[in-house]
Amino acid sequence: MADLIVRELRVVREGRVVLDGCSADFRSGQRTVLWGRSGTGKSTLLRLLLRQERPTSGTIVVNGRDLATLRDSQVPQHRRALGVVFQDFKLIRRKTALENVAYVLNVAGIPRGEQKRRAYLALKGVGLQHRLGVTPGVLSGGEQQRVAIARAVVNDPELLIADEPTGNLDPDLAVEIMRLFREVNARGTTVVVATHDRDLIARMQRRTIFLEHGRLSPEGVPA
Amino acid sequence: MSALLAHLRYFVSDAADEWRHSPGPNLLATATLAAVLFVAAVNLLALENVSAQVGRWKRDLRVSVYLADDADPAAAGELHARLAALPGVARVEPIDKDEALRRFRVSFPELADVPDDLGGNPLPASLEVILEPGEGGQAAAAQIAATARASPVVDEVRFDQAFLDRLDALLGIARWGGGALGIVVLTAVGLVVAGVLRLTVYARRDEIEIMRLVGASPLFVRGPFLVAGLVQGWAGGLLALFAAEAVRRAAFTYAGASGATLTELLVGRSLPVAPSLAIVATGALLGLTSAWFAVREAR
Repeated sequence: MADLIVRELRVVREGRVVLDGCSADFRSGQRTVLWGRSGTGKSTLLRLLLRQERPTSGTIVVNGRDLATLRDSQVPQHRRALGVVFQDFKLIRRKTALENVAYVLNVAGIPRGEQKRRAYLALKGVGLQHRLGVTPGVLSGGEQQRVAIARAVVNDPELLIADEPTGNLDPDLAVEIMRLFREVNARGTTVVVATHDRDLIARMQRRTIFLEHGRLSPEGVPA
Repeated sequence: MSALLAHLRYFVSDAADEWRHSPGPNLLATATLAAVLFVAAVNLLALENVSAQVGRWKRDLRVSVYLADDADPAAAGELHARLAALPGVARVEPIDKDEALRRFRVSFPELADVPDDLGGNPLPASLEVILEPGEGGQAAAAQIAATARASPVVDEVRFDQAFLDRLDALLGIARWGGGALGIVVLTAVGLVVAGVLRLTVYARRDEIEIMRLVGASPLFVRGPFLVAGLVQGWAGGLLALFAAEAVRRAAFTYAGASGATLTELLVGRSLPVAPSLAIVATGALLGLTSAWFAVREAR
């Protein structure tokens, strides 16, 4: 299980303050909703977590490893330890659902037979065992999102981050997706869901942190 | 080791997948490499053949001593013995007028009727003085020429070593000059192919971004492109060799009797194994280098 600690995180881009001294703890095994309107810095926080960029100042620590000081050569290994569900799914268009999920295991050096077995189980877990050989272009938005979730969890990550995971889905599918996150969390994975959807907070029924004006504000569990 | 093999297998399968999905740029890159390697192969073919022929001529150095038509056979026999006794002489072969005519007709079949048109055999009898291989041919030839010219039965003495030395020097220049020009041309072609491959990388930029985000190392991202470049260069080299051999055979078919001697000199034999391997290896290296330049920013 993973700890995610953010301390006095500040990001200034072209003179504009995007994150302004954010601090928060995301403790191991928790399920947390990071709520913020569009443009408040959620995606920037995600980019920092993936080490696509470095903060202007402050620290962001995953499992005791400060991402601000992570060397470039260590970034792939760091990313392999994370599971990420992107708002736009980010599936490889020419690969099938099974190949997309197996790719993460391929990158990690898992033997081919084991890749297929685990990818199949992950897709079965999201109810897509009948769509294994289909490419993303043929899948519906909801199905693509589920493939993305299967890919994010297939490597048993310690930390799962989802960026607006229900943004492109109808309400019924959104409920289904959140159910999947609860199942992943129940297996011990720390889950952080970034969203602007207030309804999602109610559905998650878990700790919520608010991101406004570049700052993380007091947390709580909404009624 | 098994992880490395697994990665290699993935690189090859992904490269093959890329060929299936977008054959256009891959074929264009292969064709470009094949075209330039074909030019190199044909030049190498001609150079190798001419060099081999000059080598054979130089190994078989001889001085031709042409006898006067009215030469006394006894005096000619005495000259034969004196020449054979000179230092550096391997042996002396007497060529009578009939043998000279036969050789002429073999060497120049298109002119076979000329002696008859002239009303007789105009070719002189001669003594072919074959020199021992090695250094000192020039000095031995000078002594042979001086001895022969002193004889009243000798009409003319010919020795081709100076010509062969000049030809050899010219071949050396062609080899080095061609090599230098080849490097320039191959570099230019490498940049063109890198540009073509960069289009492939650009078309897959979203995919590369995804690969990186899920933790693929730079080598893992670049691997399939490098394998594709290697295979393109290798295939281009093989195509170039096949095309050069086809051109060589076609030259014999279409050259006709008048061009047979020149064709034999330039493309008489197929490109030997070592230069053929060099063409394929150059292609593979060029493809790999071009691919590296195309994907070096994809990390």
